[in-house]
Amino acid sequence: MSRGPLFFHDLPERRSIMKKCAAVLFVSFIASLFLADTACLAQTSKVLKIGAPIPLGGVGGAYVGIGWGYNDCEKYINEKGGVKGNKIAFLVEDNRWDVTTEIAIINRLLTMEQKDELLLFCGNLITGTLKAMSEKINKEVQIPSISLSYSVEMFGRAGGPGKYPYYFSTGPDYAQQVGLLLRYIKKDHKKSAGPKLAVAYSPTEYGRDPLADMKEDCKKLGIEIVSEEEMAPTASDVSSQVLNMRKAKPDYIIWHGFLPGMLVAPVFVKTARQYMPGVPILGTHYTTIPAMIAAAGEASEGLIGVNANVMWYESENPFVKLVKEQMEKAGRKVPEAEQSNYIQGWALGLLGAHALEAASAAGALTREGVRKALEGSTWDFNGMYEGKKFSYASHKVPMARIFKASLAEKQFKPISPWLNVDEELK
Amino acid sequence: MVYGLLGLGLVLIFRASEAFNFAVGEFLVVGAFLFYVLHFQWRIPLLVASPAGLGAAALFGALVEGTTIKPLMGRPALSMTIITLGLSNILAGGLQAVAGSTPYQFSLRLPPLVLDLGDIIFPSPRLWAGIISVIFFGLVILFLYKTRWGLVIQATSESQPKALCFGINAHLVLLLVWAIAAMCIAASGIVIANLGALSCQTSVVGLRAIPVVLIGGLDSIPGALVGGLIVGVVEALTGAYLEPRGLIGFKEVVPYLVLLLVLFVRPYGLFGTVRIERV
Repeated sequence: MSRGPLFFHDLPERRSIMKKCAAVLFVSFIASLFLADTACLAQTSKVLKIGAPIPLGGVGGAYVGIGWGYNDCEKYINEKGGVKGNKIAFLVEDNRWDVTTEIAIINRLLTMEQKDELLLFCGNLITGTLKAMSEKINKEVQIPSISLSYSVEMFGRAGGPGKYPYYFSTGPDYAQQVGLLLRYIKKDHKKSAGPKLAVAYSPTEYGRDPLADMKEDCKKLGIEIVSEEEMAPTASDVSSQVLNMRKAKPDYIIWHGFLPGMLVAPVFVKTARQYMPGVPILGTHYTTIPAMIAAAGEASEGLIGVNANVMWYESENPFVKLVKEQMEKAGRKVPEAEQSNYIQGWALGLLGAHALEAASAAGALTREGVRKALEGSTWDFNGMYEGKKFSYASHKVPMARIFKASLAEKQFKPISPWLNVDEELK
Repeated sequence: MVYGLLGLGLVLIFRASEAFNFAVGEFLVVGAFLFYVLHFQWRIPLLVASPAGLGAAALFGALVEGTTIKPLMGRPALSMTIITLGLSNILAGGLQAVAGSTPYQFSLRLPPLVLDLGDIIFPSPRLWAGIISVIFFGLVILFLYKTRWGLVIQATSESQPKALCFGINAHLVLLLVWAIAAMCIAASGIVIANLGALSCQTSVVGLRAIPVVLIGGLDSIPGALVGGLIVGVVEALTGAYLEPRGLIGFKEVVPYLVLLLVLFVRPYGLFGTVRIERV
């Protein structure tokens, strides 16, 4: 049987099909509208990324605690709702305490990540990297970078916001730290003749950084530098350097440019104690942490130093309280050797998050917006400095304390209140 | 003397298998860590922990030989040398994964000995480092030259095929040599760690053994001793007299300069066997 023309044959059936198609199309249209709307909503919420190179190996040792600090800080901020609904993420990478590796990490992140997502670097950024990348970071890509370095060249008199507008630090520069130590020496020295000082440093950008300012400061204060010795970070024997110091009969030793994880650090402290018992050894931020006591043992008793952070065991400090609360919440167990690093990770992490929040509040969640937000910040670091607030206009926090090591308690105990270096070094 | 002991560990292996152990630094750290665990963590007294730690280091050396060197017996010595390069990387990574990168406090409770000569002073850990190294070096020499097993090792080192013909189990001898070498390296690791602290980075000290054995001669036991003394003295003199005159860091370089000079005059080292190869 012939079925005849399609249009006229079984017309009611075709109408029904058409109706069904129309219904499907309508539903699809509504669904696509809904999906498009959801996609738009999803696009408005993005992940704000913070490049975070830290040392997890290499000659300076591993500072895993900093990474844990970032992780838990990230969790804390994101659980609070992130930065105006945007989640934050620390892109933790191992720089092996090596300038070349760190530069490669920074370049890779700058290439791979979107400009409106990677808004900040917040990490180790060792002195050598800051120097090598100064043109690129401050002129070419213009991304704010909060560093764990306290380089004089970058943050001191010769540098600062005028020259390096995108570099930020979290404490007094190394020359200011040494300046505090020199004033301590001046006050502590009881002999009629001026104090004689031996200086030991590592042959790195970090180690040599404050030397010129230190010499100038010594002249001003009437302190004579009688010996100057370089010690490689990987040296297993520094007896000849220490013997040279001993010959010069110093009253004090300042050592700078080392980390407790460096092989030479405990070797130097032990050797100096054996060859020159009774001569005080004074150090800067990175050797004034409990890990130094753990590494050098008995020889660390009485080590003196400057540190710009709060210590783990200062449980009454609001910043430490916050960190410990969040650590427990995260179920994190931080071994003794990593506690100072964990605190440092949190300090940097919270500062980074604070900068993003301030930029977001100002309606400028861009690299430039974050820089302006940091520069315009007056913040108390969650109460770290006994409630005192500081303007970040100078790109560094001017606070530090002097500590002395107590072997019995395995702690560096503060022997000074929080000192504002801008006032102390006037 | 410590460098001499370290060099002895390399020389023994080279004599027995003509392979250069590039994993010397990692052997040093593993040996010292084994002792650290026994003495400082498990609180075993020094007199018991020392032989036990060295024994554990010997077992480690034997294990390494059994798993990586033994399968290469009869192959060119270069294969074994290359294996030690790989081994060095594996051990370095493994050590860091297990022990981390932070230094471990390492202070042996030994009777205080100080030699004060005015401008020059030898504090207790340094004197003990020398004494322990001399004693250990002496014991190894006694074992090699005054015992039956020492004679067997010497015979195998002279010629593996001939030793096999005489019924000597060359596999076992090589295992023993690696065990003794690991003990020598571990002993030097312990005294080196006692000067500062113990960390994975202590392995860089192993590199010092290279100029020591090349200066003395790769296959010479007295050469290891003399090479160690030369490197130690040259380093100390450079540190005391040249570095203060502006040559900062020269101490690290000077052993290699001496090595270069020695190799110009005696390409096989001061006491190394001169080999004439026909091409």
